[in-house]
Amino acid sequence: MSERPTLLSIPGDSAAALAAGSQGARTVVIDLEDVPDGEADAARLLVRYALEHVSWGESEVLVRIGPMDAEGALDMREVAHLASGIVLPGTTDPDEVRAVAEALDAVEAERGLPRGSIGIVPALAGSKAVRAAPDILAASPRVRWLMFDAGGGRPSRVRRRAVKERAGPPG
Amino acid sequence: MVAATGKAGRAERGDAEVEFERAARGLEVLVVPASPREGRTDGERLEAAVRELLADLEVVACRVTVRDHGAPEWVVRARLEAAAARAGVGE
Repeated sequence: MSERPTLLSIPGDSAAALAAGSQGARTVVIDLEDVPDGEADAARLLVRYALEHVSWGESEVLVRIGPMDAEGALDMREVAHLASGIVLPGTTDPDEVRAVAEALDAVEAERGLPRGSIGIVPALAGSKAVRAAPDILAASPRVRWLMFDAGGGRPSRVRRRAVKERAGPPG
Repeated sequence: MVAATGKAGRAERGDAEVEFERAARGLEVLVVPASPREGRTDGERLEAAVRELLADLEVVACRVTVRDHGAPEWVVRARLEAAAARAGVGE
């Protein structure tokens, strides 16, 4: 495993990328948020099988779940127990972290895991979230570290769609 | 309405395209091998994996076609489970 902090992002809908495993990265983020429309169910299953069958070594394996008001709750229920934790996309508020932490209590109870074993890495979105970073970090003992999501990166399909919907039809 | 067929997987190296079709009776499993560029297909092992998963899913009648692109067994299982779910298995 790399001694430097290395993060490998793997698309959750790519069988070949998942089969390649962690490739020595310290942290792996498997992305279930940004999958093609209509493929969330198949990607979730693919990720579940990959977490069960691929050797991830000592890497921290996180699953970036879909938005909580869409596929995120299902992602959490089906795969979170197999990973080191989840990346919570678009986090802007500590209450979002608290709600997800509570939902993970139920997942752990159902799967027979020790309480608090599934971590949360909030992916902060926007300046409001950055200002709230200390509160988000302190929102739950599950929070392992923070990821800054705002700007720079490729916007997710979900976010692109939301922006499009807000903008309304062209013309 | 429940679809009678479900498909999952991509025509990409390391993946498998799986089609699940409900049938009146019997299990029919067809494994179409990968091209040599995409790797080797162990048809017997993949067919056994398909039949094992169908038994787990309590499916007793269907037709399954696997177009293998050099996928590991767990990928075929994942794709089959997705295709079956899309055909309404387990609902």
